[in-house]
Amino acid sequence: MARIEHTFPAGVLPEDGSVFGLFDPGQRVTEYDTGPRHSRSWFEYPLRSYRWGFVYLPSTRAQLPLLEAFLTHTRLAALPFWLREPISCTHPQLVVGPLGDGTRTSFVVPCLAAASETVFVSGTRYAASRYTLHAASNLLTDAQANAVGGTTGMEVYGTATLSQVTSPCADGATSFKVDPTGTQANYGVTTTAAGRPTITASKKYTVFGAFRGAGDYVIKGQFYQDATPGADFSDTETGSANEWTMIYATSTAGASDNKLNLTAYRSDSSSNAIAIGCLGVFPGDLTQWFLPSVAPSVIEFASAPADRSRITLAATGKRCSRVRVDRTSVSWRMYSPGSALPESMTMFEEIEV
Amino acid sequence: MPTLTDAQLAALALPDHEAKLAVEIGTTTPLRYCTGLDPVQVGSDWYAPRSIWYDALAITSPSESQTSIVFDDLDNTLRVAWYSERFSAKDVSVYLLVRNVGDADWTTTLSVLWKCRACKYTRDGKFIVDLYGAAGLRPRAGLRVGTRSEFEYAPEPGEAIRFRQVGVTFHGGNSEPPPSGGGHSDPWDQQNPTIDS
Repeated sequence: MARIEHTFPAGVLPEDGSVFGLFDPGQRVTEYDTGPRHSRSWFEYPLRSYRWGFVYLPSTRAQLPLLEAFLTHTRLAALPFWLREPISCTHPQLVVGPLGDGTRTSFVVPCLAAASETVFVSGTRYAASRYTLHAASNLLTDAQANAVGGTTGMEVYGTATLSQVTSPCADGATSFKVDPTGTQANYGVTTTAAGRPTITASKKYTVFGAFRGAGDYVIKGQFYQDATPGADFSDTETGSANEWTMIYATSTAGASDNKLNLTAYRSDSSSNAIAIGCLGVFPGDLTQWFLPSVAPSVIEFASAPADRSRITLAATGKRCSRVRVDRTSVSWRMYSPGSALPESMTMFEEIEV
Repeated sequence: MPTLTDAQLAALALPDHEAKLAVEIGTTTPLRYCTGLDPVQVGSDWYAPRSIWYDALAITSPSESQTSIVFDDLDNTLRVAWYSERFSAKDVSVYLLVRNVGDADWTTTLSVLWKCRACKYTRDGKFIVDLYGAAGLRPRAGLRVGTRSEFEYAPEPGEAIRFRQVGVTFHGGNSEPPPSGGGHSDPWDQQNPTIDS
């Protein structure tokens, strides 16, 4: 299912003393006056828990609006989000979601730049020849993906002007605005020649984008061998004025391809400006968008894991957990002029089934 | 008492184990869910993980017993099925599976068959299935295997014979003879005409 995954702003850092833990929500231990204790667990995996306080944020920094945008996008406890841990270490059991379905080959690994991995599918260890571990799930830069800090690496497609705007946004606090010159068809954004992400020949890739505005929209990928264009692939859908429409297309690179160009545009004729955000080039058949700078790793299997199979792995890296907060309000305080401190948040890992 | 195999008894006797509850609602297309994060197979059927709450599930079987199982139904799967087909009076099978911590395979230790009495849906997405008449599929006197609702008068091994749910009392003036020992129903037993003698 195509989805925009929200990640807790990387610039809002946990303070010293923040708590990292494991919990087993179904654990029951008998506690009687006599006899041995017995335990019964109703969950298969211990899961991550967090209680984080946050460092001071000077009000001039960009983190506070990012934090507010994040809380708005995730609707607090209503939606799960991803939390990146600040310290890299070796994790003995990372639980991957969702379950295999017999057709999907790529899964998000809850770890940034995962390495030194040992992979298990339904408890059976998989040889390295049966999968590829990609360091990140989005090969673009933050600026290319969602106009974060500007639009470097992207350029206008068609006859229009391209700018960064702060609303509407599908994630974070920015997106691309494309304003056609008069009435135009086929206007949008595309990666610059220098900004095309590097890919591996003969591997599968997915291009992804979110569009806001009524009209017909196209997400298109085109493989390149250096500067020579190769095969292209695309998908078209009708967008809506009042919600984001996610479109993606998947294809396999040719034997000599080493670059991929992404183009996201409106194909029907209009004079209306459109918003585009959450662009991505993903390894494999992944359809979950992450901001590139916090995009976790991806495991791509040579053949799809069987229906209902659970993927786990041991790996080294910064853990990136899919969590929910435990309450429906979050606040921050003003201290001496110019400083704010987000109140602490308690979060629990949630595994997709 | 339930008849358990050595493997089932051994699994239940583990001091520290993982447990999983699997529930099948016997609709036309059965709805099968289990607790925990991973799916589980019971027989040839797969049960999908879903948040489930339950209170006590009686494994002895007085016909008056009742309980509820609460499913998380934020995706509306159960509610949509409920709109298209009444759940009331459907069979609801409940399985308890256990395994030693670290083992891969689950052992089904108990299976209890209930009937659905009613369903409720709460505003916070809980789907509540009210159950009644628990009865395990287990040998009863007369060497039959069946449920309390199928063999209303048949005691389980070790259970007193009951008649109309009040033990063996036979009220004066009642023209019906008491049932034969062992749960067989005789041809004149009009209370249980579907069971051959």
